[in-house]
Formats: sequence, structure tokens, C-alpha cells
Amino acid sequence: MKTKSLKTAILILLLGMWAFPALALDGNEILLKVDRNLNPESYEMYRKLINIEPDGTRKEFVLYTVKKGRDKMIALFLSPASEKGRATLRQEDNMWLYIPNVGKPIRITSLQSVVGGVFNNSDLLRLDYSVEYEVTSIREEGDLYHLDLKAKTGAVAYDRLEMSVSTEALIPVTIKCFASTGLLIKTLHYSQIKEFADGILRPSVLETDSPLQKGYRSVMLFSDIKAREFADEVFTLNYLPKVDELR
Amino acid sequence: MIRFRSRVGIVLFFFLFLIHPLPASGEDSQGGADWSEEFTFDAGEFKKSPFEWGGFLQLNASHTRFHKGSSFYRLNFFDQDQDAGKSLAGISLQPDLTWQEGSFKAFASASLEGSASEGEWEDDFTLLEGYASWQATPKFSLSAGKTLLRWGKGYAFSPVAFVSRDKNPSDPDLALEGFWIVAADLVYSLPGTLKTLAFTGILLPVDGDVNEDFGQEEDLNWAGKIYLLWHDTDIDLMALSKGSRTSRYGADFSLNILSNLEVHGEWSLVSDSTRKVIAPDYSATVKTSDAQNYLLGIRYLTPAETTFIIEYYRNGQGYTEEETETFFVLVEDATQTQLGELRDLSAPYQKPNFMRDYLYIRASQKEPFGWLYLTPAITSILNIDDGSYNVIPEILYTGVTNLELRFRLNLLAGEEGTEYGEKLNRWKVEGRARYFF
Repeated sequence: MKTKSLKTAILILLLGMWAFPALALDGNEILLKVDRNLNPESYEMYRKLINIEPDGTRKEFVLYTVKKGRDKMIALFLSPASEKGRATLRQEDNMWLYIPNVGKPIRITSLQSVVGGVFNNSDLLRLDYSVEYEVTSIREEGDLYHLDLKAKTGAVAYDRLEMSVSTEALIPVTIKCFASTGLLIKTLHYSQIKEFADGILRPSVLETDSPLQKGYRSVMLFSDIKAREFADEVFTLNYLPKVDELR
Repeated sequence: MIRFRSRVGIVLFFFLFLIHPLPASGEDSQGGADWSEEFTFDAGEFKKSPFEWGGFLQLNASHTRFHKGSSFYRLNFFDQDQDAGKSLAGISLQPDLTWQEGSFKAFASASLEGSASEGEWEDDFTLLEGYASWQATPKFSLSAGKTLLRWGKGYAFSPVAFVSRDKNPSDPDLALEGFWIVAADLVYSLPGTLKTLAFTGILLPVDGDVNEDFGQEEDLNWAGKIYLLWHDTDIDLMALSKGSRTSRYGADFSLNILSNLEVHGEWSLVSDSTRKVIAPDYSATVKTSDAQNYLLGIRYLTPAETTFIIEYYRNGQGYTEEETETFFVLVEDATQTQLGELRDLSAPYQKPNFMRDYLYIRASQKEPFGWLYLTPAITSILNIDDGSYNVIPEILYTGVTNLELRFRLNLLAGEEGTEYGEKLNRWKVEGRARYFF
């Protein structure tokens, strides 16, 4: 009798999932796929950051970035000359900045910005979204999934994200970043999908603007993204002054 | 002789001239933002080559106004004519060169400085660093040569920097010269709450001209440091063997207790620390005792992007208030002959922050009132023992790519018989322009 009831329940559940596909959507699974489509779990890449002021004046920075696993990342400044050799390290929620002239790493916070403009340190040293956020709801609308994400801890720079994801490519299109007060801090726009090494197909441009910095915007351009494995010891304070040796 | 006002005028003119073209600053300036612009980036031009070089060229100018009634003015200038102030204009070049092939690397950085003051020209060449290194594996590396090590977590003071030259607390980011050392570095990443464990071993010889300013005794000194990243806290334990200096032990830590609040501290024990104390009969007595130095500090970032750095520093090797007062009275009462003797003995009294208890406070504001690329800051070092202090307002401008302009004023204040009240200077105005290449 019990077995028959169980079979009936499973049948109803399967029929329900077929009849209402949206219910079958697993937001966290989609988020994991989004992460992997953006980049391999361990990789190296080059980025150019452009800060654009309302009058069109620009400041540009070029960074070499390496990442390993879920929570280890380094960004090394290659240009301009005044910033060359600076390196930022992230290990989980710990962040440090190494400045060659100062000669020792200092702790920094995710909300600071070592480059100015709209991008802050957490944007420069962004871990996988699924590491920092939990999907609280998901809905499908046209060719987009709309995901609501909530930070797993208070140490994350943005308390809540609203992410629009292409249903076909499973790549984010826009991400709205909110503070815990509900204040919109910034909006990220991914665009210009391009093929990188190892068959990685992902946006090559990330633009951001903020209602808190009206008229200003920052652009991040991606190049030479490659899967690459690194030793854990690369992501330590001892190795930080030597990161350029990885290139 | 140029009058004082003219000299200040020259300094101000120099910086107004540099600051004047600011509205046209910025790399690739455009007439207005193009929101539909297509962006491209090819990382090919940033591919690494075996040889890389960089550095900066600096122009600087300053005017110092002396405190004519102070003890240190009397001590330094009792036998010579000296104007009420002194102007200086300087130029310096700090190039660096890196060569890397596989796991081998060589690096050199030097400083070439020239300055003109009161019709005299002085120049100096210093090799800041020059070493070769071998990164055998990501876990293990060896290096040998002139190397700058900056141990400690303190911003203005570092009681645990056993193998470094003293930094200037009023300008702690200035480049320092390294020592000739052999260093081995071993690092492990671990799962769990102890995430990193690292050991650094140092051999530092003092022999003839090699590291002659590290200590008078010729010896092969060793030092070691253990680093732990434990429970998201940076912890260092360090030691220096007895040799050219007395043995010393230390520890430091740094952690974020909030995402915008960092706390750090340092402690060191210096065995058989010696202090040359000048007695009322103008003789010098060497006092020997173990000394503890420590520091506790915070760095706090407000939502408006004001950064506060506050550090309390205990200099256990410093002079007491009584010893300092005795010294100033002796200078005041000394004859010309006695002043000559005192000047030879007084080097430890003329070091920055030679007393016991200090409070360092710095507040810097990023781009206030929407002034792009401007960072005003104000710094003060307070001598807690005697209530004297200095105040350093400054402005940093970085709006032109690879150009950094800094203008600062150093004002000293204190009663008669206090550290800052008896300093050589009453105030100093200085500016510098650095172009990075």
C-alpha cells in the first residue's frame, strides 16, 4: 500500500515538472553554469580597465590576473607605469594590496577601490558568483532568466544581486548590485561575446555605471583568458611580490 | 642672498606652474563621453620580455624655517652663521631593471640624487637593491644580494623591522636602502583554519664595507621569521641573533575585525639595549637594559572614503622625560666648548621620535567635493610624554597619467624643553613632482 502511494507521488511530481517547467528550474544550478561559462575555475587572463569621466577624460589600467579554485585570486598591475608592480591578493574574504615602494602587503577591504572609478576591489577580485551568493528566486521571461541572489555572508561587497541571464548561452547580461538597505550601488552590463582559448565563449566587455556616481562609468575588457593550474602557494603574501614571474 | 619671502615664492610658483595645466589632464582626453563606443583590447603588447625597466624622475623643492631659539638650532649652528631659513631644490632619478629567465631573476634599483642649497651642489648615488633569486618551486626560493625587507605591520613605526633601516615616520613610504643578505623562503598552503605557514631565513654578514652600518661588530648575523595566516589573521614571529646587534625577538599581527576596520600590532624585546645618556656634568653614560617596544594601530575606512590610521607607539629604547629635560638644560647652559662636545655625543637625541610614547594620526580623504584625483591628508605625531607635536597637511594629485604631484607643510609645536618645541625647524614647506616611466 505504502509503495503504491510513493509511486503515485513520484508520478504526480514528474507530471508537474513536465507541465510547469519553471518549477523545475534550479537557480543555484544555473548560477554554477553561469560561473563556468564566464571562466574556468582556475585560469589566467589579462584585463584593461577604463575609467571614463563625464567630460570624457579617461584613466586606463592593465592587469594580469590569476585565479585558483573557489576563493583564491591575484591581480597584478602592468600599466600605467605609476601603478606597475602593484598586486592585490584575495583569499576568501581576506584582501591585501602590495605596493613595490612600500614593500609590504597591507590589508584592504572589498568596498575600497585601488583604481578609482566605479569598479571597487571586489569587482577586480571577483570570485565565482556561486561562492558568494545563494539564489533566492528565479523566473523565466522571454529569453532571459531573472535570478535574485542574496549574499551568503556580511563580508560580501553587495548584499543582493538581480542577475539577468541569457537562457540560451547561460551568460549574464545585466547585474544590479544592491546594498543591504536596498540602495542600488551599481549596474554591470556584459556584452560583446567572443571566443577565447579552450573554447571559452563569453562576453569580452563588462561596463558599469552607478547612480551614486552619475555621469561616470568604468569598462573592463577581457583578453587571453586561459585555463591554467597554479600551486596553492602562489596565493600567499610571500609570493605576492613575485607574481610577475608567472607570466 | 635671496630673501626668505622670495624663496617661499619660488617654491609656490614651482607648484602652481605644475598644477596649472590640470584641467587638460588625463590620458587620451576626449571632448566628451561617447556612450556607444566600441572597446577593444589586445593583451599582446603587454607580453613579458626578459628585460623590463621602470622607475621615476623626481623634482623637489623645499623651504625650511629654523627655530632660532631652540636647543637643536643652538647645538647645530653655534659655530657658524646661519640664515633664518634654508631653501633647497633637488632632482632625483630612481630607475629599476629586472631580468628574468624561467625561475631565475635579477633585480636592481638605484637612487641618483642631486640638490642645490645656498649656492652649493650635492649629489649622491645609492644602490637601493641589487639581488639575484631562484624560485625553485612555488614553495621554495633562494635569493642573494642587496635586499629590502620590510617586516612589521605598523604604518609609521615598525619595532620588529630587525633587518631594515629606520623609516621616517613623517614620510614612511619613502624608498629605503636594503642590506646585503642571503635569504631562503619556504611557504606552505594548508587546509583548515591555518591557511598559510611560511618561514624566511636570513643570513646578514657584517664584514669590512659590507653592511657596515648594520652594526659595529663584524659577524655573520642570522634572522628568521615565521608567518601564519591563522583564523584570517596575519601573524609573524621573528628573531635576530646576537652578533653585530644584540639579540631581539618580536611578533606582529593584522586582521580585519570589520570589513572596513583593520587592527594591527607589533611587539619586540631587545636584549641588552644600550642608551647613551648625557649626565649633568656633560659626560656620557651608557645604560644597558632589556627593552620592550610595541605598537597598536587601526586603519578605518568610512563610507565617505576617509581613511584614518591611528597608531600608539611605545619606544622602550627611548629617553625618559627627565633625561630629555636634562639634555635640553645642558645645551642651554653650555659654553662654546661644551656645545662642541655635546654635538659629538648627541646623535641619539637627534633621531626622530627619540622619546618613549607617541601617537600617530593620519586622515586622508579621497576626492573630496568631487575634486577628481585629489587626495588631501593631514598627519600628526604627538609626543604623549611632553605634549609636543607636529602637523603635516598635504595634497596629492594624480590626475595626469604617470605624474604624481605632492605638496606638504610640516608644522612643529611645543613648549620650551619639549621634543618638537626644541627641534631645529619651526616649519617646512615642500613639494615634489614625480614622473613614472
